[in-house]
Amino acid sequence: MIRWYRHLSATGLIVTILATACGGGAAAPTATATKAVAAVAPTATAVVIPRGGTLTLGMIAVAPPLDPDLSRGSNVWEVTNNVYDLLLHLGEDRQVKPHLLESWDLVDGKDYVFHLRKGVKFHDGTNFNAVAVKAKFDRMIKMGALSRARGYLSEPTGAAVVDEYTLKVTLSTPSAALISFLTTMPGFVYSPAALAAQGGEAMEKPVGAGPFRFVELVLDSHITLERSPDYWEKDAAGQQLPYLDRVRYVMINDPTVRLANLRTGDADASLYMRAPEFPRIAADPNLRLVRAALEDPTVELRIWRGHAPYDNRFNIKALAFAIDREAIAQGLYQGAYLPAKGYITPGQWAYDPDFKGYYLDLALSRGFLTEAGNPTGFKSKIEIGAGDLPGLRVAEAIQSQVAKVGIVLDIETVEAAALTKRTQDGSATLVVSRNVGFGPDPAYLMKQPFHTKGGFNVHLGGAGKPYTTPGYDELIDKAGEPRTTAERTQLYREAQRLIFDWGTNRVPIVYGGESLAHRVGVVGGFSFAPGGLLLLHRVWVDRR
Amino acid sequence: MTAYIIRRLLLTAPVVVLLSVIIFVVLYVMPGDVALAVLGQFASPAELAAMREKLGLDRPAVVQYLSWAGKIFKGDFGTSFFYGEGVPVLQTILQRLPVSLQLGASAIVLGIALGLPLGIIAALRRNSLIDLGVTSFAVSGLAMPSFWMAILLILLFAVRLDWLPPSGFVPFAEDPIGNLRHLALPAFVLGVDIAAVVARLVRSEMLEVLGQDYVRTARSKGLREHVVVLRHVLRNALIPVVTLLGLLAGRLVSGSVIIETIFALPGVGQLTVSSLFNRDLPLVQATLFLITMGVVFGNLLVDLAYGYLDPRIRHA
Repeated sequence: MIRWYRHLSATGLIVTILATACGGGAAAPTATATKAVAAVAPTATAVVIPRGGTLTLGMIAVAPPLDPDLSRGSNVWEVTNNVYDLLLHLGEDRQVKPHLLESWDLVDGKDYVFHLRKGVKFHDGTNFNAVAVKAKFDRMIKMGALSRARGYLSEPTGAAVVDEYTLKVTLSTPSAALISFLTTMPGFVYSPAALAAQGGEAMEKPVGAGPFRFVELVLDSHITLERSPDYWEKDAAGQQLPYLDRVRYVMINDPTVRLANLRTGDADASLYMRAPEFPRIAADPNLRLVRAALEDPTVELRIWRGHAPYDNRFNIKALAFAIDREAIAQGLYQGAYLPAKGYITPGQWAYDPDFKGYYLDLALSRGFLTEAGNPTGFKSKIEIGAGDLPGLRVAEAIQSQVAKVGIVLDIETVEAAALTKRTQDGSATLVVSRNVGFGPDPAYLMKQPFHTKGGFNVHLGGAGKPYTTPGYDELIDKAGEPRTTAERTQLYREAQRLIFDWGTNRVPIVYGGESLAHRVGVVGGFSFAPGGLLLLHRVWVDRR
Repeated sequence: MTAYIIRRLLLTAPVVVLLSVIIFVVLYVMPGDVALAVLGQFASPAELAAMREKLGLDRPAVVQYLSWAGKIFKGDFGTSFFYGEGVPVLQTILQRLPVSLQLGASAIVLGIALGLPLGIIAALRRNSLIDLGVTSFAVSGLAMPSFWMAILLILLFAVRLDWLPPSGFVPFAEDPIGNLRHLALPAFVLGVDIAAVVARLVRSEMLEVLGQDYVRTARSKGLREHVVVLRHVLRNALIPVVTLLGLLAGRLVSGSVIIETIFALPGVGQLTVSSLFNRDLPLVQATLFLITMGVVFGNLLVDLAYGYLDPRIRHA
């Protein structure tokens, strides 16, 4: 007897069964889900927003400490943002709005006097006042480079209490950007008494003045916050904020599983949706996608110029003009991200819509190769952190694009910590980097990687040597001083043109932004603050 | 038997020392700067140097090893660089251990419960469709990457059928049913892997024993078939399976690292991954050392059980 069935591929059989069972992509809406949409979805006429309930929010794992100065990674800020609260907010119009800081005065063209909101309490019952804000500035200044906030706020040299709700902050140099930066992570405030009670070193259990107070962190599992009964802010209808009783962040590192939790209803919302998932979310009537403005230079090439071939600026321009950003935005990000032009992003007030930056022009690229003295191209490498698959895809796309002008890039995958070390000792060459970050003021992103004294420029010219673009520092120093917005805009645009004309050490590829998906009808009220921080104090949940 | 146990224990001691050296050396030569991972990119060279001194990383490698080894043999694995000042890493690991132990135990039970009968049936129905089905299952179980199977099962049982939760963990004491529901899929993915190995081994061992003279003799004595299979065939065929269980401990550990990450289970596997990314040296060293010790002593127990089951081994 011919045992034909021996030749059946068992693997194939099982795969077929499973694939058939799982097929269909987006699950068809269930009766329950449809009912929930009909019953709950608030309309424009709905005034009373449901109060109470627990929001379950999927996100990637958060590593402690949840300390504003010591935290690692912006995913920590997504949580602590709702606990600490910010001194100032940035409105949809990108204008700074009062929050815990009600007003401020510029003194002698350099220092600031802050007028703080009265009647605000930290979650431990102590008062939010000038002493607390002074303690925050003092700690940050004392910590120096160890403080994550210090990279944004390099100018403050001291803070003095004027009265209980007035504080004077002394700066080393005039800074127009300081106020803007208090709308994001450097503007977090915390209870100094709570920090002292926790040993004074690190805030392991965050105690702030925000809408939610910290309950627990179970590593690699979840974080729970609960409504702060003392929170001061009310909505337009006079209802006390926040609406939610509790927030439970569940840590799910795998993006497919994060989305699966959303589709099953095990999570009400999930952060960090990826561009390839956007069409699937859009096709699911139970889900809605919420996206932050496309304002981050989400993917960029970082170039170390201490060694060949990038010690020759024309090679950098040859590389940059051989990259097809449009193809990357469409091909790798399904059009969900925008091709990047300049380093001042569309979300910033200094954005120059007429600036073209680097664009695909192979003739121009070849011209720069000739000018660099290697008309047939050059050989180099592109470095990627191990496990960074989206970064690897970008590297592969760039590799094939620049090959057309004779630039041969070998892709080298390097373990993440080893890559960080290379970038720190100046031995890195060309690195694809993602999640570059957002600056509410161009002062941060236009200074740190390009100015001779910029925090990211320490080794860009070689080990321990920053790279200097002639004339750039003067422009940036001027632009950073308190001036009218029109004057500052002009200066930043001029500075941007200068580094791109000279050959920049950061080549932006695409603009992106944070994204979140949530279940329709069950939860709502989500919006990202400029910069991608998710504020939850206006989020509601209704499970009727 | 006592002499056998003492002999095995003495042989284990140099293995433990050797493993501690390997773990230390591997982590010592691993690229990356621990001080940089702790302090971040804005740290100055002076701050980095001060942190290396504080962590004892500026000392010669031999001194660092002896200091570490001396402490771990006293049960002091140090404190984590990341998970809170002064929190002993052993405490962090022990908090995670129940999740991993429950997952591992469930996977083994499921693997044996599935693999053993399948192997027996396949051997007794050799060259039949059942045999082919079991063999196909075993090959698929071994060939299919566990992360892929995990995603498919989540899509099927959680998203499509809505029978089980897609990920997460609930402690047994808090919600026994919820605990079992959350562990069902990850335990099944790990268990299938074990079942595949057990089924293949049991089948081949059974086939070998079925051809032995004493089995023929048992049958010729007129014993019923199930008596022959259970008393004379299976009992002898199972001895190598016991050995296999020891070897599977290592496979379980590597599998749990992936499975815990996919299913968001807060176990030792996920802790190992995150501590490696964080360059949390004391935690990585401790988890690796304790995991390898688990495998070593698991194998030791298997060896002792093997000696107990088969007198030829302990008298050899």
